Amino acid sequence: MSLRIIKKGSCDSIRDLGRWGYQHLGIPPCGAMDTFSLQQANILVGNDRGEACIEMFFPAPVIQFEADALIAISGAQWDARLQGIPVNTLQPIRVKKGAVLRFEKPTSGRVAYLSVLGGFSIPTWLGSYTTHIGVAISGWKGRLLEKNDEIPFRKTLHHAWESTAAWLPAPWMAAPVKDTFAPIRIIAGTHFSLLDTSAQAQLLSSPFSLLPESNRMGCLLKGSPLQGNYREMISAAVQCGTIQWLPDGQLIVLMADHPTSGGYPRIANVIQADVHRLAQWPIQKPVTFEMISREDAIRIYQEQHILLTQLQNASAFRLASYLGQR
Amino acid sequence: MYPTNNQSIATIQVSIPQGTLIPVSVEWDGEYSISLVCAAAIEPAIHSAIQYIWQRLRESAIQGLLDIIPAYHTITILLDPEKWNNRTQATSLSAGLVPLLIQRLQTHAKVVSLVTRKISIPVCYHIRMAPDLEALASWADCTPEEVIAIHTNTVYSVYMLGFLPGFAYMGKVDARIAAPRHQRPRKEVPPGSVGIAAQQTGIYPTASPGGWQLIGRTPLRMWMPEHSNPCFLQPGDEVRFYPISLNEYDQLATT
Repeated sequence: MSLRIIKKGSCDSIRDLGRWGYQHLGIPPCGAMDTFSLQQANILVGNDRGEACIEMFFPAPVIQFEADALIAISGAQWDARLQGIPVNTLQPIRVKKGAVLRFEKPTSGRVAYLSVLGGFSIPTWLGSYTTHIGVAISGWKGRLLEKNDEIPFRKTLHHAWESTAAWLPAPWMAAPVKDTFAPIRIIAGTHFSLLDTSAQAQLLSSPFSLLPESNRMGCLLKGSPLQGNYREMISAAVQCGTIQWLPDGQLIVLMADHPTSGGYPRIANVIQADVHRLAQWPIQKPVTFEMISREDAIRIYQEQHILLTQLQNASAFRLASYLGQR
Repeated sequence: MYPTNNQSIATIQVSIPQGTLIPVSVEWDGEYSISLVCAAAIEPAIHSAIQYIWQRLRESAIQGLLDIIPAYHTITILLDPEKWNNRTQATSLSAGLVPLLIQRLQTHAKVVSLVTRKISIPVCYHIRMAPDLEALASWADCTPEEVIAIHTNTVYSVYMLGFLPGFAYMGKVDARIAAPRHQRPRKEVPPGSVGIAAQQTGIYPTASPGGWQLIGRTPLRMWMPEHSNPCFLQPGDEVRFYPISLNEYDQLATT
């Protein structure tokens, strides 16, 4: 009752919605990079939204199922294949023991999620399954997944397998939300006014390159250096989406593995609803920013929240009859 | 020209035991976070006000707060977007949460019941444990023994934790030994190393790269992930260091 990593990927780890309530001790949340996709994957197999999933970057792992399972893949499109045959993301799929999942080529997106019905049978630490790589704790043995790791499922999938196929998709799927790569929306940060007027305008009009060194810690941006009254600040809390202004005039957007505090000026925040867009943003595509109001940022987040609730309602109904009839 | 997001919501006056009033501004931070901000300084008076507010907030049992993070002159409150969704007045940030926060903190608060743990930490200042002690002594134009005496004669406050899980920023270090951090950080600093970076002192809880001036090492574990409270130090603790020999270090390290 497990899955096995038969070839490791570049950065596969156990993630959930994060470990909250310990940042005053310097322990960051370290949740999924794309919490929207993680929740979709969980909802599709009937899990709690914040259940643990496997987060993957490309090159992705090759995974063999050691037991029958109901799975869903979400996030990046990497030409996912089961037994060599293309499968959809955002669709519940029943897989038979022995089936092998591969990702052939990165078409779009940077991070993908794999959920299994019931989640993985691993212990929590401080209320969360998510891996803290820095102090090598939680998730799967506190580290990235490696070849031959066997991640146990919490639940057995009971159903009669009426077909010889190695896998069967459920007869429904979630509608993908395609990113049109409209500007990433931000709200002004505490130190926005330290930027010169021209630098403020530049932030909101010029494209920035997303550097390939970007990782779970942060997205590094490159443009012409932003000018202004630069000075380091007394350290204060930072969060996912905080845009820091670095001494060389460049920017970093802090992502899931950010430290809990920082001393660089915090000029803006990527709105919480757009953090997952940035997590999936193609490296070669320039990033632009649009500044919106706090009220709009909340409204957009709540719209996303409603999308997930609708998916959850529709999915729960279908899953119950789908699994029930078997 | 741009939507303004950082307007102050309110100002709270916190009266600290020395009798001074410390103004604390309540400000929007991100769309789902609020900051409480004092004057930008690393000062004991401001630390008292921050500690006082932090302790009140932690015992206030306001629902829907993900994290309450104190720093030198700020407290950042992260809000759970599931709870604060602006759908009703009770779940609205401006009409629900903000008045509740202000009420819990009161607009005129007097620090009377600040709970402070007093902690003594043994430190071995032997040269084998203190790769920067001699250089720091010559920077300070004194002997290593004088550096140790100055470092152990101060009561430090834990202003905040950060950088690494369990890494406590303590201050203030006596100006005479407040050497700046190294230009180039070491690749690996052993856990327990006690360092100085200008007017801050700290202990590395786990092995990590680090640029602080290393003047000793404690055998105590600052990072205990198997405990429900995994960090030896917490914001607000009062810490005193006392010197131990290499032998005592070895004994304590094995127990």
